[in-house]
Parts: sequence; C-alpha cells; structure tokens
Amino acid sequence: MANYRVGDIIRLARKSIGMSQEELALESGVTPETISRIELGKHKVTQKTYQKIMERLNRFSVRNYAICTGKDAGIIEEKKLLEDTISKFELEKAEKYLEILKEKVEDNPENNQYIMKVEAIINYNNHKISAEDMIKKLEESLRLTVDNYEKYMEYENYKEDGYPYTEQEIITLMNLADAYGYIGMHEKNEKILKMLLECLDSGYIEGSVIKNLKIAIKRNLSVTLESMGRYEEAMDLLNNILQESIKNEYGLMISIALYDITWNMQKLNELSGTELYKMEDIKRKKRQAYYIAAARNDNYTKRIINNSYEKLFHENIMEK
Amino acid sequence: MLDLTIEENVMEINTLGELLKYYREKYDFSQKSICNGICSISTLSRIEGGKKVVDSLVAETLLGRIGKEVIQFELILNDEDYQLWNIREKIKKYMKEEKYLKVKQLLDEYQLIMPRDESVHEQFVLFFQAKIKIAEKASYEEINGLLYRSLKLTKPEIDNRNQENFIYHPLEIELIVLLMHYQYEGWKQKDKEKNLLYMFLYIKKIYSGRQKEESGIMILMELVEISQKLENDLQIIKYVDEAIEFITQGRGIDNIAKLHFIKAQAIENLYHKSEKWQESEKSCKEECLMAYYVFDITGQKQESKTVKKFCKEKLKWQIIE
Repeated sequence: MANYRVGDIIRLARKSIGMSQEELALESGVTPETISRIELGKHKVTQKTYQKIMERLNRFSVRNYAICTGKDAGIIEEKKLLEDTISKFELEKAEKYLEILKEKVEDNPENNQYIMKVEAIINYNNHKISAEDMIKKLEESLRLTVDNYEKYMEYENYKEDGYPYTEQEIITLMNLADAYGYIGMHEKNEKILKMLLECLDSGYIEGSVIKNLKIAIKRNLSVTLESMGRYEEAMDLLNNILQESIKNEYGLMISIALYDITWNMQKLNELSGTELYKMEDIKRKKRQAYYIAAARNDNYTKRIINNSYEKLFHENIMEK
Repeated sequence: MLDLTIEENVMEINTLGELLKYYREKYDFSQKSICNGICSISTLSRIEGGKKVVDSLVAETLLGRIGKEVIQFELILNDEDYQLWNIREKIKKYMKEEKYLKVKQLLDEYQLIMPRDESVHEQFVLFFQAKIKIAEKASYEEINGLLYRSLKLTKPEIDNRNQENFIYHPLEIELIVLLMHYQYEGWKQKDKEKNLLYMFLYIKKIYSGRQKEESGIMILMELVEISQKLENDLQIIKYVDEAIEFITQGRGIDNIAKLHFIKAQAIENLYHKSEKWQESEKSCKEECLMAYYVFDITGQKQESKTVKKFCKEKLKWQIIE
C-alpha cells in the first residue's frame, strides 16, 4: 500500500486545475502562508482542513486519509480473495466474490470505481463484453474520481508536475492502457503509460510498492513498443527495467526483463538479416534468465524461456 | 498484462478500537494476550469501546500483535504525537540509509520528549540503540543487554518455559530472533528451534503482506543457521526449501542465492560419498547454477566466485556461462 505525502498531493492537485495558493487559501479558510507551508510539509494539516481543501480541489479525499472502520475490515479480506482468483483466471469464483463484495461495500465513489473496474475486467475475460465495452466501462469508472484524465495526458499539462493519481486510479489506468492495446490503439496505450510514469516521478507517493509499480508500468510500456515495432526503444527501456529491478530486488521482473531483451535482440537480427546481436550473447542471457526464474520458482516464466531456447538452439537449456 | 495484487493488511485507521475488536474476535484472542505489556485490559476495553485515545506508537504496537500494519497516521495525530511520529519515521529512514550518527542524535531527542508511562517508547529506543551496536560490531554482551531490556518491556514473561499463549508484534519477533542469533546467555539452554517454529506458525496464520514476508524470512533464516551449526544436512535442506518457498511467494530476490548455495553444499555433504550421489548430483549442480546466476546478476561477485570454486573443487565441474 502506498504512503501518500499530503503536502505534495495538495500542491499537485491544486496546480492541475490551475489554482493559485491564494485562491485555495481563500476557499479553505486559511492563510496563503499556511497553504504554502502545508504543501512543503512544514505544517501539519488537520483532518477538517484537509477535507475542505480536497473538496475545493475536486479530489475525493477519503482514500488518502483515515477510513477503515471495523465493518470495513472484512472487505479487505474479500478484496484480496477476489484479486487472487482473478490473477489465477478462476473467473467463476471471481464473479461470486464480486457479488459478495458489491453487497458489503459502502457506497462511495472510490468503492464504486473499484467494483466497476473489476467487473469490466472479469466480464471481458469471460467473453461477456468486448474490449471496446471494457474501455467504456473503465473510463466511466475513472470519471467517478477524476474529471478528465485525457486532459492530463497532454505533455504540456504534465511536463512540470504530474497529476496526483491515487494508487487505485493508477492501476485502473494501467488496465485501460492494456485494453487500448487489445484493440490495436497502441499510441494511446503508450500515452497513458508515459503519463503515469511522469506522475509517479513527482514523488508524491513513496514506498517500495510504488517503485515496483513503476517498474511494472515500464514493462507494459516495453510490450507496447514491441507491438509497434520499436524494438530498439523497447530494448533501452528493458535495460533500464533490469537495472531498476536489481536495485529494488524485484526478483520476478529480473528474469522477465532479461528474456524480453533476448526477444528484441532476435527481432532486430531478423529485421536486419544480420547477426546484429551475437547468438552467443542471446544464448547466455536466456540461460541467465532461466536460472534466475528457476531460483525463484517462477515456473511459468521458466517454461517460456526454456521453450524459446529449445526452439532457437535445438538443445535443452539444462544440458551441461 | 502484468498482474498486481495490492497488499491489503495495511490499513488507514479511524477507529482503532473497532479494528482491534474485529480481529480479536475473529482470531479468538484474549484481551490479555493482545495488550499484555502494552496497556491494561481495562484500557484495551476502553479503546475498543471508542472511549480512549492512545498515541500512535501504542496503537501501532497493539495492531502489530494482531498482524495489522498502519500507515498514514499523519493527518489524525495531535501535535505532540505527530512530533514523536515524525522522529520515529526519520530514525527508521536514517537507519536504512546507515546514517548512524543521525540516528543517535534523533534517539537522544526522542528520549527527551517521549512519554514516560508507556513502555513502547522505551522499547523503540532500546531496539534502535541495539541495532546501532550491531552495526558498530560491539560485543555480543552489549548487544544482548539492549535487546533483552527492550523485549522485557512488552514481554515481561518471556523467560517462562511456556510461550504458547503469546502473540507477537513484529518488533518482538525481531528482538527474539536477534537474541537467539547473538547467543543470549540466558537462553542458551532453550529449545530455540521449537520457539522459532511456534512464532513462524503464528505469523503464517495471522500476519499478511510485507510484515509476514519480513518476519517470516527472518525466522526461517535463523532456523537454517541453527541447522547449519548442528550440521544436520537433512534439516538444513528442509528449512532451506521452506525459506525459498516463502520468499518466492513474494517478489523478492534477497537471500535466494545464499539459500540455494547452502542447499547445494548440504546435498553434496550428505550424498557425495554414498550410492545416492548419481541421482543427487544433477540437483546439486542445478542448485549451484541458480545460486551462481543470482549472485552474479545482483553484483555479488565474490559469492559467485565462491560457488564456482565449490563446483570445481567438490564437484569436479566447471560452470561455463
């Protein structure tokens, strides 16, 4: 879970709607100096003032703040179950958990956003709705808490400061970017992911979960670049992902990045018709990736790498 | 599409009391086990009933006993509590960054303003003083002195034989593991393995997310080390396997190479001179390769060379990349 920096969120949200500190101060019943100090983290804002400020900035405030009461505690367990079943593609079970959650959950924009998003993903994977419909639903769910994400996607709007998306909004946007990829709109996919990366660079959320989230977004971006035939760019990004994963001890991604690099090397060799990247290099990287995946029991990744190695080199990767 | 699960044991709280009551009833804990060493039972009852407000460290410790983690206290603390919270956050940060001088200064500052009547604050200070001593490679005696005093504050009956009704918050787990690791005199005769296993089962059942990972790995690595000291190869392999499975449920890579290499050495030691070697040799080599490549990619060149050397000398086999 993320740890949000209150001052940063206020500053970024304020700037995104073009409001000055003076204007915000007026609307929230504090002095401009106080706003400035709050934004710099030098003044502790009270719960009441924070909620007032967030309202003025049209940002739903509950999430960034204290919310969990005893009756919500049960929902968190349900949410975890739901997400586990989705990640294992146990879609019938997921549907059941979703129904339970719908009944239990309190009616507020953030919860409704979550439910709508999850429902869209399940229904798409169940072949009940098309990718286009999933996109509509995901965008609808986003609108519950963000007025117009596309506005913040224009580079001019985020080149100085990103928009302070919540973690849930970020993940919803990642799902949305994926969905655009499914219908072949790779440019939009790329734009959304690049916007997310810029926003996260503002540093308003901290924690190792966020570092790993950034890496995951970069990886999705590399896949998008590959879909658009931009293999060299993808490879540059993957090398960066590799370094970041090692630094942050994101084990799962280390072998994925290594393998993806070999995939791009092969593509570039194919395209140029020459051995731009030596077979020996590709072989070595695949073995590296394989054993690192094996060390972590990442069996799915291990199998993919093994299959790719055998196809290319006509020998078992484990032959020694 | 890469899947992400949100770690959900972490909560932002408004009503500590409701949360404590919910989980206490869910896991069927007694009030005593939750608040023992932290506050009185009557205080806990009042907290649960929403009639008493406690400071953030007390709240964090109580929740820690039931395996729940808190963040984002920032907005609901009063000024005094916020000041303390802020210093604690800085201490943790500088400790991670190994800026020990800063940590010492902050600990001094903290001690001047911390409440005198709550054990958890002194526990916090002693714990970090011990960690500094560890970093400065002080004597085991000095280290253990601080660790023990820290632990006793919230676990006054820790020296009792029977630990079965204890529940632990993460700091207590770390203190106990460290005391065992630094061979605390008072526990030399204790059945360390049994106590560690008990704690491990506890956190497996009750903790979740990051806290479960961190505490679990700490306990398992200590169990591996104990088995190594006893030179019990089968046990080493058993705990290594369990540790690897535990770590790989998460996304990490820390300790993985070390564990695979320990396993390789244990397999070699166990089977090399027996007729089982033919079937074990392959798995021993695989363990070496996994250790080698992970050491290598994470920049631990010295360790990767050690693996290569082991393969050459003991297995008469060269790792070629």
